[in-house]
Amino acid sequence: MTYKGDPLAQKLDQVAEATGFPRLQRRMQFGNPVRFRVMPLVLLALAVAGLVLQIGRPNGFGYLVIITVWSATTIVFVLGPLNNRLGGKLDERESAIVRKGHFAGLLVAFGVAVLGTFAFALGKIGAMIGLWNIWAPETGFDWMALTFFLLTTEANVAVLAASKATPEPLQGDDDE
Amino acid sequence: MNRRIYNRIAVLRVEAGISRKALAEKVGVNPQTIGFLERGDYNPSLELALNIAAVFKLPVDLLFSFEPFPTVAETLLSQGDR
Repeated sequence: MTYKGDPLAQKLDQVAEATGFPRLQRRMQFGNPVRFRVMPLVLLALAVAGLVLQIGRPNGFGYLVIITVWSATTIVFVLGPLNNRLGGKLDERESAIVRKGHFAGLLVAFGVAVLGTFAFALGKIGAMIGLWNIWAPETGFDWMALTFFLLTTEANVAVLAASKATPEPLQGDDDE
Repeated sequence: MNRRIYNRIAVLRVEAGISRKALAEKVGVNPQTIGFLERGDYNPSLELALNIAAVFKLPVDLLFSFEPFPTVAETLLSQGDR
């Protein structure tokens, strides 16, 4: 699919194609969505590891891990079934998949947020009566890490649920 | 409640000489959705089912059913018995 005509422009186009980015862009725009099975689980595990690091060593390294995982999550999100590839109106099947995915993602993120705040509250009570001391966010890095952890959780669970709800495309689905 | 709904879209579409893309444009969905419908991977809404039936100018119950439709061979054989 390289340009043909002016030799210099042709060479530059070949170099651009060799980087793989044009192919990736075409896939993101027009290709069938990738049905992710493992990658969102790996990213979720890495996000949990990042949060554990942030709790253990509140020097911002855990936050950096979570931000990196979040960046990878956006790529998974764009390649997955939740991305509106052509930018137009979603049909009823696609809308149902997006709703189903985000419902699952928001439900899990909400559950994590509720359990987390409950744990923080218990930690405060325990600390007041001298029984235990549970970690609670204090610094800006802690809060940002928590924010991006919840975003990562929502997006990856949504991609997993949407991937499960998307049938395997067969060759010829887009035929003329 | 997720009973499988069988349909005759593929046969009627080929008979009418319409591509998936053309049918998708007529009923306002993605061509992949037509593919998933034909394979029975997706159950359409009532609105979409009625729109597809209108394209083929057939009542909706001749296009969609909870029971599998007889194949063309079975239909021809049953006509031969008469």
